Amino acid sequence: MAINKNSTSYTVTFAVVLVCICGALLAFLATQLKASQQSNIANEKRQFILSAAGFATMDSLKGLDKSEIERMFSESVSSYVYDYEGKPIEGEKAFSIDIVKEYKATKNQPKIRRYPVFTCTSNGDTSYVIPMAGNGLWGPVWGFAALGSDQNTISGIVFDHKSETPGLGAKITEKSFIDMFTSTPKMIMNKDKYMGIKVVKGGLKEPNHQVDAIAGATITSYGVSAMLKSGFKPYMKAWDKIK
Amino acid sequence: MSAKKESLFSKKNLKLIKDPLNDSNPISIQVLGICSALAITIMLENAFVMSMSVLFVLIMANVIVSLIRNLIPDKIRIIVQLVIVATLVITVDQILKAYVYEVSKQLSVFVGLIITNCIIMGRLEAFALGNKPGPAFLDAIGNAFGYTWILLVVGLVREVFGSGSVWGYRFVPDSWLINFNPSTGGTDGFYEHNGLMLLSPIALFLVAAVIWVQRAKNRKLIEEN
Repeated sequence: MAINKNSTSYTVTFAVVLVCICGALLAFLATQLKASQQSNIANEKRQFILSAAGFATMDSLKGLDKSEIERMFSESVSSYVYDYEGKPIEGEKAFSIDIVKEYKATKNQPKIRRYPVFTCTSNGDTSYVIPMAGNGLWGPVWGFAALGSDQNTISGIVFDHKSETPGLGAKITEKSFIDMFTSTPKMIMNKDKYMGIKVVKGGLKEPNHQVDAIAGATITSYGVSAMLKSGFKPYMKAWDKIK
Repeated sequence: MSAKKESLFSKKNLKLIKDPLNDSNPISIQVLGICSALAITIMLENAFVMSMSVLFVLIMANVIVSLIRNLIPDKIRIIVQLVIVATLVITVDQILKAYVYEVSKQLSVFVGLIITNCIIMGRLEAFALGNKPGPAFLDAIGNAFGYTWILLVVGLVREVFGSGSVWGYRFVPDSWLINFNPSTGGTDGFYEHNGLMLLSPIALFLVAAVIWVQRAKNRKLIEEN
């Protein structure tokens, strides 16, 4: 070929063409796959809420169809959004609030944050699922904590994370960690005082308000701890109104 | 290395697959791609899925670069390779997120890290730029599997001794583990997981052990200096 491969114009043209092809390809891919990616995320959120509320374990929910999950969710879960003062916000859909983004956007400003609650009823039992978010070692961690009908004792909880270390911080999603929240009753109130729940190292002094940290994952554990301790508190003002 | 009308599976071409498995293994001999060998070998499953993603990206990148090797301007060849690899990696990531959401969650950051895997850039630069697509394809397979087997060995050892499980299945029962028993005031069990196995540095020792075994078996691999 007579083209001079080392000329500047050839180099620039090649670069532009290559980038256009790659860019177009990725843009096409992203728009094509967006719908199914978002439905995966929404489906997972429903699974988290149902699992925290004690409908089934996460593993068995993962085996169900998306439509089945959606049906269970719409039948037994109703949701509300409250402001910091515990007043309901009309016209807001709790499910569409991305809790990680909400916490990020209102960092250090809990007063302007929106607080979603999911009320779940199964077999006559009511539980209140509260979403919360915080920071782990490498990125955000978040969770859905279900309080029993006394609005005090944890009846179920699930956690997830963006990029914690597998085998260490990522263990917050595992059964061994989650079960510690329900094996002995964990309460957020002690008499009338707000206690929250802490994740601590080196033995539990207050077994009803503390959970053992994960060895080798101190920062993730403390991140979860901070999230739990602050996560429940704003809801205290709204409790009388949540029925 | 000009390949004249020879079959794809000629002796010379098969050597492209076999060599990287052992005598020119990307990890233990060339010591490339160590970062991912350290980071993602805590569990066997992660190591496997990561290896498969690398396999896909390496094959595609090697073949694509080989196909357009005569068009790539020399001055910007590294950037061109990078753009191609990055496009492939993002494609893998997007497809995983859309169709196998669970797996994509497990891999999380590691898929993105494939872009920086030195093995891929190394093969593109050293092989695909100067060879036809066929041999480039075989070279990619050889190197990807050379990477895979080391990752699986390291992952297996780390998972067995670090978490007492294989592929997520626990075989060390809880009753073996040393635990404080409140009723007797003593401790139960006799076994404890090796916490060091969960930390990244241990992978260096394990890779070093593989290097040692390999060079003890084949003395001509030992560098003279």
